Amino acid sequence: MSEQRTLGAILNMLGLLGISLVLAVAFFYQLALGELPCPLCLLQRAGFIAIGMGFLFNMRLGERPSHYAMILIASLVTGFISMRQVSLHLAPGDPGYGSALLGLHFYTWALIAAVGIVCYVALIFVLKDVTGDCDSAVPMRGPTSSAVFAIFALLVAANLLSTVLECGAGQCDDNPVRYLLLR
Amino acid sequence: MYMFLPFLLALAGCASVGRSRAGLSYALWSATIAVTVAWFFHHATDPLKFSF
Repeated sequence: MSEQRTLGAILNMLGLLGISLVLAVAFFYQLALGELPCPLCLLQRAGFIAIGMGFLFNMRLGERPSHYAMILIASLVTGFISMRQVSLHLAPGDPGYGSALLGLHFYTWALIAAVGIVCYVALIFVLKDVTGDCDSAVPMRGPTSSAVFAIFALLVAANLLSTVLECGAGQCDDNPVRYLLLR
Repeated sequence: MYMFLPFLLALAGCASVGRSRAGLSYALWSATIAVTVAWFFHHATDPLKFSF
């Protein structure tokens, strides 16, 4: 089946790929370095997944302003959660939680990414307006969008499995050091 | 309090998108956000020593 690729569709697919990259990097640090995510870290992941679902809705259900609104709402929620965690470790001498990437902890990167996604959506609106690209009501069903969808769904499923293993059927420890169900 | 619930709801949302069920997808997205916010307020208990 041929894939209809408007500018908005391509930018939404790139947005979902970006969210998948964020989730994949978090998973790499969890699996390769054995750093278990704290409750706030997990909630930031859930926020990024909610952002990704907004991009996914635009891809698979057709572009709609309400889908962009969902992306912005989820970005605000994610940004607020990460800002709270940044505030917890803001005091001088606080080593922060977990390892750092390029000098910044992951919750700081999450805050930067949440603000960046709001800017990205603004950029999509501007580019669509400048190029005269209208919202496409036609869902993307081609192999590329299906592959991006599958990668995202796989990462969501992996996060579900990982969280069940880490926390069981309850709330996680504030500073988890081992998987609850693998003890 | 089920920490995995937001991920379960999101995965169900992805599945409903795959079946092109828009209404159910929106409902599951809303539930994902609502549970995430609720869990956040449950966990955000340490006082912040800021004054503005």
